[in-house]
Amino acid sequence: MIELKNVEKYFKKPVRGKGVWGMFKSLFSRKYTVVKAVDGVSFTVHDGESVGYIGANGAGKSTTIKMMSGILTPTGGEILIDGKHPYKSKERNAVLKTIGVVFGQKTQLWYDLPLTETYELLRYIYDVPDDEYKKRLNELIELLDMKSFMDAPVRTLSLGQRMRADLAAAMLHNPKTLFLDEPTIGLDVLVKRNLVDAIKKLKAEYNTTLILTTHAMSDIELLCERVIILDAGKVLFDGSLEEVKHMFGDTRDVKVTCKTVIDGESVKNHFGDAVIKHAAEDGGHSVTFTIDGTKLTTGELLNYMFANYEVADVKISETGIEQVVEKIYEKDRAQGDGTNGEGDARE
Amino acid sequence: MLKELKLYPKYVSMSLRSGLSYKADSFIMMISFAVTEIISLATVYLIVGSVPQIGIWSFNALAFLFGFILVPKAIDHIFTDELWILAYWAVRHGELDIYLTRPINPLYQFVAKTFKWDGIGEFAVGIVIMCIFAPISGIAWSFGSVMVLLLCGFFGIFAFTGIKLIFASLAFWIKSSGIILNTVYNLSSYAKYPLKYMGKAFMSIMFYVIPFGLMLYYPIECLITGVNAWWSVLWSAIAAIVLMTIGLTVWTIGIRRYDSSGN
Repeated sequence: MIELKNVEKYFKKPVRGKGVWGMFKSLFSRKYTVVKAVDGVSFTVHDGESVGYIGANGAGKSTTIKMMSGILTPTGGEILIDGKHPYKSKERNAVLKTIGVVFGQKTQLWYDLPLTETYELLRYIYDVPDDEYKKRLNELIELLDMKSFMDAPVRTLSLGQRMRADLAAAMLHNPKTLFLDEPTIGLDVLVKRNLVDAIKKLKAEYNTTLILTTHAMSDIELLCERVIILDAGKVLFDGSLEEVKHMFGDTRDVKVTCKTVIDGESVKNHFGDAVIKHAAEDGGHSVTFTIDGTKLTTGELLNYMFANYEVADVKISETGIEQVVEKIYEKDRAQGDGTNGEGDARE
Repeated sequence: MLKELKLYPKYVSMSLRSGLSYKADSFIMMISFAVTEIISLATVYLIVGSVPQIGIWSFNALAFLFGFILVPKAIDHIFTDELWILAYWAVRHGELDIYLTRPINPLYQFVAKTFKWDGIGEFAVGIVIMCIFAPISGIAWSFGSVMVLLLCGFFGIFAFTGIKLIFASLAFWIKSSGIILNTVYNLSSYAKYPLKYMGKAFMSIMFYVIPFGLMLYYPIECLITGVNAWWSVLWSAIAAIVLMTIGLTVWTIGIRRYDSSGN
């Protein structure tokens, strides 16, 4: 079980003047601004849960993960992983044995050597017994489809291969909890999909507690039951994935382009309030429909369009995480002002 | 601690094999370290050679001192070279993250990662110079003086390691401490000269502030004059303990302030 109790992390940034003289002055000044990266975050994650930890850039996601995995020491509050503090020198080793960490932007693999070398080293560091290590490594190679590049030096791996290898490295000692900080960053759609599937399989196989940050809403939808949304260092929302969708409307934008002019109004009338709005461009040749995913699937809309128009092009975009955060933020503010109802706030 | 010791050969072998990808590079480094030191000794000869003797120091004695200093310097270079990366790079770029998520000492992991075998060049040059000049250095050789030399050589390693650890760890406060470390580290090259005649102020700094003089120069001076030799061993030991204690403390306090890098 992971407990965060009113956790704070402040960074001090020296105030720096402009130009050379300003820089010189800052050498002797004790002035600094305090940046509250994480500002009073509390939540509890139970064993076996999978939590998506999301927020815009700079919301404090990575900072929280780094505090939970022993890299950073909180300025205030308390973090307990099975009753122990990961950032206290006497307790850290016990905690760190039970967690695995993958950073999308950093690797823990030995750059010039084949993967097996790093795995051997990790085996010693985590005291994994020999037979268990062999069994587990074989399972992971199978599961993550790594056979083809086990003997190549890490520097020659592609990003997708490297991420899989990093995942295996983090799973070798059978951690109770796996932290993934933007694991799909920079991967193309197909590779991303493979990786997410692999994580899903790992989770099913070993019942690992999963805490994941990402910018891709699709990752969260496929992997997580619970979502925690962070903004400016504070928890904005903590609840199930279903709740998020329900609260903020599972909307998506479908842009349809035709050779003929589309009568947006008639499409809207056909589906009723399942089509939230429609916006015409290009003299009506292309129309963007915003639809409510709980009432109408993209397929249904497209079927109707194909049946009635000569469709040339289709573009579908789902609600990005920034938009969700934005909506929640607006709602939060509206409630604070005492205005009535979600309707106003959502507009 | 036991685990760290058991793991060390594994780290060394990985570092060596990893270095094999850049064989030529390591080899050139080794040669160039050796050549640099030989040229620098030749410079001492050019300077001192025109003066037959500076006080108690003949050229032969100075050459012996020169060789002696190379040995602890090379040993430190072989084992803890990664501390330079800490000073210049690792803190600023948040590269300590992965070591902090593993259940063994992060300083150990960081330092053990690199085994710089190219330091063997320096080491060999040091030993050869010592062997050549030992008989003509004016030191009265006995079992005792060899012991003094060995012990002071051993503690001398920590003169370099301690100073490097202290000033590299400053990076936790100022992000990049490489230039400061470089400046302080280079003070060690003044320990090759007769500090005794360099003025009280500078000598005090080299003895009591940045104790390269106390740990590297003083033992040889004592061996030449034949007085206080065992005292110099004691001072070296104390200085080594003090430097390492300060170094480890600065690291321990510093790592708590470590703020990674944003992503």
